[in-house]
Amino acid sequence: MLDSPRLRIAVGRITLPVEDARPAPAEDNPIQRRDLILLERARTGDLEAFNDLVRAYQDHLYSLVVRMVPDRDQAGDAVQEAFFSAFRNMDRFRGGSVRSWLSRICVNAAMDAQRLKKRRPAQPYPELEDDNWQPPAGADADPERTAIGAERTRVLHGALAAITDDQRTAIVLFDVEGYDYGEIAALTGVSLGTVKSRIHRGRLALRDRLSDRMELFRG
Amino acid sequence: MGESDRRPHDGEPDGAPGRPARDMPAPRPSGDSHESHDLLLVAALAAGDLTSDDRDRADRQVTACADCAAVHRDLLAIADAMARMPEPVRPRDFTLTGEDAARLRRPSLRRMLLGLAGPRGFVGRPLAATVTSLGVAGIVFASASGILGGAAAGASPASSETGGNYFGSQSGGSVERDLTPAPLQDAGPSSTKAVRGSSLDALGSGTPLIPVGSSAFVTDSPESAEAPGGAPVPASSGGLDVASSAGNDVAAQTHGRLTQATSWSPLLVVSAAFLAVGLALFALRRIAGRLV
Repeated sequence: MLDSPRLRIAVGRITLPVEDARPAPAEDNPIQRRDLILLERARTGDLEAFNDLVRAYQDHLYSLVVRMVPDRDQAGDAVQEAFFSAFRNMDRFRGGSVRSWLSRICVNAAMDAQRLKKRRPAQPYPELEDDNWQPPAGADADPERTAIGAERTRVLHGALAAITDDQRTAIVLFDVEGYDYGEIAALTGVSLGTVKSRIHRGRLALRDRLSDRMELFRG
Repeated sequence: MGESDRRPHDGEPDGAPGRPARDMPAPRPSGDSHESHDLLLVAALAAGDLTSDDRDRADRQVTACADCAAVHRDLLAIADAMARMPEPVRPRDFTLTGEDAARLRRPSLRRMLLGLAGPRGFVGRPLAATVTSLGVAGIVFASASGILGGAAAGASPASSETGGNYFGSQSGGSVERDLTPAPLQDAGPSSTKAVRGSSLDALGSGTPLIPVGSSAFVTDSPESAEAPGGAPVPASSGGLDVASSAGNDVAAQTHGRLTQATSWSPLLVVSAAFLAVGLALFALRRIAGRLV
């Protein structure tokens, strides 16, 4: 009884090895440290420092927005507007991950673009007619595999463009960007259950859209 | 997207089509058919969102039904393909130029408006609707109070106000009280007008000399207009002249009635201001919406 582990823990004779599950602080991550330094320099008026941040994240942010806003021109405008907004609101950055901060601004800009598109619909899904939508192929890539991959991407992008904006946003943030449900709920301003429902229904809607091309995905 | 393009699972579930009493219902799928299975359960299973009980149920469903198993496989394949989508080629460089930076550092009316009333601005639709509703409710309440107060005042004996010092004389069986000569110039030379006082009248006309809810038979004929004690009042003289000529006690009574008549005015003014502000907020949101 006196030698039971529970008692020893209670009187503090031994300390249990507790794994620290918290994420590493920003200063320990070299990329985050670099971002914070660039942002601090940009705050003092160094435009080149801000542009270094833009160069570091513009590819990622554009790929995020272009999946939420199928019109590539609108997506480009949304990303540009997001960087403008980030430049104007640098002083409001409260610490943490610069990448997450920029992603949040871009998601908001993309949602604004979706609202604008609903209000002023011009051409529904120009991406479907866009033959330039090809992933870059490496020099040693197998031509057949490259063609299948390009076709799969084109078909998937067309199906994404055909589901609702809310479902598309949730699926892109979850499947492509890797946000968890809570982060998506915070980003889009809806409840956790709504996020899950949008993802489940969106995936089923994608499957309906892709039902006659599923062989591209099963292989 | 047209109605014909709608597919299952596009949005919220539709209601049952047709009238339940007359229309022949669609044949219900049997319990074992794939159509009766809950595909959202399969989608939740593919996403790994289920608790143990639901997961067991979903596992049984996927194991027992080949179509559900195919759906499960397809959903996993789609999720995998989504995660492996190549990054699209960026069409242009998003770096900021010096002109951009200078422009963004300058304050802008458009940005201010968007920040205030844009999609994520301070002025939301609920705020505008609340302020507008408060304004409308205040105006209705003030008007209703004026009417109710007027009825109450009309029901009570007016002797306290129409005592010996009050303008009034019996003429042809009606009480004539002249306190508001200004509108009389529009009327005919010997016409008699009945003016019902209310807070709205007091606010709008600027001649708030009628007690709330009381009917004053006003005349502009020199014969019928009399000062206290039966002294005739010249037709050319205004009400204030009459008051000054009648003495300080009359002026004091007039001031008292003026205060009574305008007692609801602050509420009315505030309500009108709320209404105006609410409508202005709606207009701001509309303008900001066009600027986005």
